[in-house]
Amino acid sequence: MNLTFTLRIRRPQGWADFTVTVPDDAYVLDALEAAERHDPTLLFRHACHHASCGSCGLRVNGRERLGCVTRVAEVASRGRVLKLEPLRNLPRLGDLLVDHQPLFSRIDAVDLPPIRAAASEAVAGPQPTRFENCIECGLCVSACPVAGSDSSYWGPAALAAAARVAAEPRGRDVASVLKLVDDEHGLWRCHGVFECTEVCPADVDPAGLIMGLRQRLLEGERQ
Amino acid sequence: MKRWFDLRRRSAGLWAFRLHRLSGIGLVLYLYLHLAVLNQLRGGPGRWDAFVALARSPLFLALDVILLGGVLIHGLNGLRLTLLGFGRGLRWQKQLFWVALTLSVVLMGWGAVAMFRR
Repeated sequence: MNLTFTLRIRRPQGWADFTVTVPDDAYVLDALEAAERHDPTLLFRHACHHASCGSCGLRVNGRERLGCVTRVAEVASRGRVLKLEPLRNLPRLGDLLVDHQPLFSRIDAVDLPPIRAAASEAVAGPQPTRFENCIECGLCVSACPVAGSDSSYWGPAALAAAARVAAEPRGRDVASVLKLVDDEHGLWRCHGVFECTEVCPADVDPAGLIMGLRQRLLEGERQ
Repeated sequence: MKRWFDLRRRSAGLWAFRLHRLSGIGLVLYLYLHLAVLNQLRGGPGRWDAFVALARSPLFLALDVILLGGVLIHGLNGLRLTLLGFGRGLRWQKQLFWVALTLSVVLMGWGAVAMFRR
């Protein structure tokens, strides 16, 4: 079975409609690739197709999602319009493409080690490792209303990274990271909206981590 | 600020955020309105009595009910935010919002009945 529907994409010059037909088990990214066959100038980013690279974040009917794991059938019933817009609160490069550099710079400043120890039942052998949960997709930054009104705000992803460093330093200087984010545009700027946690595709829970880190600071962690 | 009020597909936390801001702005405006009303006292007893008569009209009472709702939602959600800010009840942030909202609506209803019965 196939699904035929209108893909309405917000381009810099305004909304553009594409009529696309995809299998009923297709994902939003598949629909975008179908639209790209109509117009090869359509700009969007993707890589892994399985929610690991964080490249294909966008707003689907107003909600931040990864295009690669959002099924069309879940978000566009037959005959309906599926609206796609770029992420907010990051510089727009064109069509659905945004520049993640401001996000990456702040995460780099926190210097979160990308590898963490994995929980394991094994009693012998080398300690298994895994990547940190955050895939740096920027959905949380887009969903955060505070990031929309304060461009200097560190944002949920970078603050969550700081919280991870504080929880598992792995050689990093926790005091310097805490000093970095203990700022009016850092931890204390968060208004506890929890949209970041709602949209996070990797269960990072940035809002919870931010509040937990605040608690540590209030308890005098830096002294 | 426009992005604070994008209504599409948002969760309880953002509704709490919006209500908190709207009620906060409303309460600030009310403060100035209140000062303007108090200024009526300078016009003497006659002017004040005329204002009190106006304030007892159904329209003014309805505005009082809205004011009460704003105070309640701002205050109760403020308590929720204080708890969350101290890292307490994070898992129940949505439920805490619904409790604050429900209490606000119930107390606002009770207040409305009390005001209109007098």
